[in-house]
Amino acid sequence: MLSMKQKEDTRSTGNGTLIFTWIALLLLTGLTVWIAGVNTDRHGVAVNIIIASVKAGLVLFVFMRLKYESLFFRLILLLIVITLTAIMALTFLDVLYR
Amino acid sequence: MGTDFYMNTEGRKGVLSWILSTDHKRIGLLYLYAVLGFFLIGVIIGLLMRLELMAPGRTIVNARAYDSLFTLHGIIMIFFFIIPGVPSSLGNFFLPLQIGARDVAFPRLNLLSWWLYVIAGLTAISTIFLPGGPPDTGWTLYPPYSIKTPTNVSGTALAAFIVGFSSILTGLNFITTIHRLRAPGMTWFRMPLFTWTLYSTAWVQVLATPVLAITLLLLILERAFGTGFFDPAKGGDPLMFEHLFWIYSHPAVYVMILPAMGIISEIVPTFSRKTVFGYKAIVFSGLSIATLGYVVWGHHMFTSGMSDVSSMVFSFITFAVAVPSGIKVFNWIATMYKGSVEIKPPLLYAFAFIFLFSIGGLTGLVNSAVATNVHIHGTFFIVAHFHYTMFGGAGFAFFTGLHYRLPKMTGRMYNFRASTVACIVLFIGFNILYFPMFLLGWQGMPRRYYDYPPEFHGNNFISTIGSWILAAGLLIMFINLARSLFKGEKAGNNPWDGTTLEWQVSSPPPQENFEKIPHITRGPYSREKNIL
Amino acid sequence: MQALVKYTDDVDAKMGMWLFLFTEMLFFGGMFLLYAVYSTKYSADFSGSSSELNRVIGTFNTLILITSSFTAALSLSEIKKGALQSASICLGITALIGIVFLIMKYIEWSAKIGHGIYPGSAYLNEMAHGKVLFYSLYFVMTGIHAFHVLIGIAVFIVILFMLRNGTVRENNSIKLENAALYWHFVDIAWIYLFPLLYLLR
Ligand SMILES: [Cu+2]
Repeated sequence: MLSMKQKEDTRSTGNGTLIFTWIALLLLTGLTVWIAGVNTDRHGVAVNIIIASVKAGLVLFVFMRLKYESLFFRLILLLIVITLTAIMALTFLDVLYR
Repeated sequence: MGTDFYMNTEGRKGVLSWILSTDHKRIGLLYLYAVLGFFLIGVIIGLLMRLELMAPGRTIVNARAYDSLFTLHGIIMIFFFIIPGVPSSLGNFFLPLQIGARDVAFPRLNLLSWWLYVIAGLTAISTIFLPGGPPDTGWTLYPPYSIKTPTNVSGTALAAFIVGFSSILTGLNFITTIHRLRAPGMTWFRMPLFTWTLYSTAWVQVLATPVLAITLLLLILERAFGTGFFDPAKGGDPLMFEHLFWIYSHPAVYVMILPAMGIISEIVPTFSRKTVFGYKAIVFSGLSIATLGYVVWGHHMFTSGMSDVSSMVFSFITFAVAVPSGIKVFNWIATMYKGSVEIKPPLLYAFAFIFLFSIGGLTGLVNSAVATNVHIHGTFFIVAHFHYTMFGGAGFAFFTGLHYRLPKMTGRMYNFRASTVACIVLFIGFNILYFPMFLLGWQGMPRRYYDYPPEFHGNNFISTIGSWILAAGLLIMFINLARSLFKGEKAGNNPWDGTTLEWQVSSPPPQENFEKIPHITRGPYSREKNIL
Repeated sequence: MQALVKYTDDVDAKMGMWLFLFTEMLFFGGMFLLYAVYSTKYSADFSGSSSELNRVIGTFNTLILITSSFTAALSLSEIKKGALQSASICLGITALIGIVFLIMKYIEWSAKIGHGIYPGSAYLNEMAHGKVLFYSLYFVMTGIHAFHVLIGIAVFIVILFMLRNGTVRENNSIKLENAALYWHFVDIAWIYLFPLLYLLR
């Protein structure tokens, strides 16, 4: 609504936070490669996907400033995750029980 | 009143003042003409198909040409008429007017959508003239055949890919517009129902179309490089194409039908001179149709060799979709109950819609039960069901919307007598054309064949006669509407005594819609006057 | 005729961008669905082929792409402070890293193609079904991702010019912000592609 229009968002993430996030992302990448090296079964893959999701979360919330955005954006992100999960689940209902 | 938007050429001359304009009203009209153009092509192809099926054996075309006819008919009608039809033309024109905005959120993106739509349409048509010829796979483009056929499947897939992009851009434009540009006081539950359905539709467009885009791209790559994703010879699974295809294409059905329901939900209260019955129930049923519609795609694959478990689950959820659709029909009827109903052309078309769509919906239940589906899958029963929902439903709602809103768009009124005659002819022709198909399907006549055994002759013959009556109805209707542009009487600002915002501005609307952004103090169907 | 009054603001533009990114997520989602189904069906072939990919290049590309995401975020934070010079430098670094990423991708692809491994090659078609599908997914997914990287680089170059001529500036940074959002998304897509393609064993 026009009356509710916010002013341009001037909050800026401190460079310290950005650097910290960057280093965390690099370390998590290292961790993921290390896990793939030592753990060769499918658990390793699952753990690596979880680590990837943590990394994606960091990028989304810090770099993409989702923590500053309105609740609406986060809800839609949730909606997308639910949508993708539902599609995967229903497709596997076919693939696994065929 | 100030100048109407036809006079605002933004300094451009002639046709350029249209095809380069970012005014949502001009773009809405551009879409309207383009969409009707493709509809005309689709109708002609449809008539040719009926002519071929008029008698057993070869009548006018051979088997190969018939395959191309039904493929092109499907591609053009679905991707270029019925999906963009209402949202892009009427939606574009009326969405900002209904919420008290000057334009959509991204006017240039809006123009880009139209251009992409036109380019996609030309790409689809060009497959007819390019080497390889038009596709012969059916509009669903199922592999493995679509991988092997030498016809122009890739060109068709590319066209659908581009038009999908156009659809996504329209969707995200509408969502942003509705979230951000509503006039002060226009709360969510003061939004007109047409806007609400455009909102639900926009979400489906945004959430489902990308899946179609990647599916078509993968099909193109499959044909170009032999990636093997859908090719059983390389370990790929053709059923994965069907899954991906219907993950989009079932929700797309709701892109077609939700705005149609929105049109009807506005017209019924206007001509009953009452506020709508169960406003919130209609809103939430629209949203739940959009949500449930996302997880029922498997009902197109009952006979494809999908697992039994998933068939049962998909069948069950499909039955659930009937509930919110039923709620809407109930609300429309309850709105008319004890209202002072005036039967003017828009309401007449709305009646035709409700009747035809109900038949389409009820026969949908026959399809959604696995046991009966196995019997009628791939027969003319499906063709009939589909046309009752999509043509009798979405198509007739589009005509309804045109009769309701064209006087606002052009400022001219059409002839009531002619449009009443057209509606009756259309209704009769429609039923003569499509009802025999239910019988044919039930007797086991498969679709997509140019020939049939003699025992199916009678119903096919009747159906073809029906197609001519329907075509006559279309002719009367469009001539009458076109004539109104030149010879129609001035319609006045509010010919139907409508209550939503667009009826409070002049006809045709002024160039920036409102001289001053209105302040909204009442619900959309409240009969208190004067908001502007 | 007076010009249309500007009635939209940066929040609208950002919302449009986010919605577009959500559609991108579903676009990639379609490929991930195929990946999930085929990697379940042919798990042995998938991990076998995965170990044939160049893990060093894969890891290197992951590290630099993350770094470029960081410099893009830094560029935005700098421009909001009014430090246009350092914003430009950060953005330039981002685009350069994108180019390096593509060069590495080119080296990686050429090596595979040099061995006769590419979708539709006779050599690949002789192999087990799971391998054919893995390599097709590998080429298509990294290819579509690389295409997104290419678009991102082009957008950044345009924005660099806009920074120079003053179109993008301290109090008008939405174009930069949206471009950065897009780039972060490209980064996220790679964050998932990396373990799924390179680290199955
Ligand atoms: Cu369906």
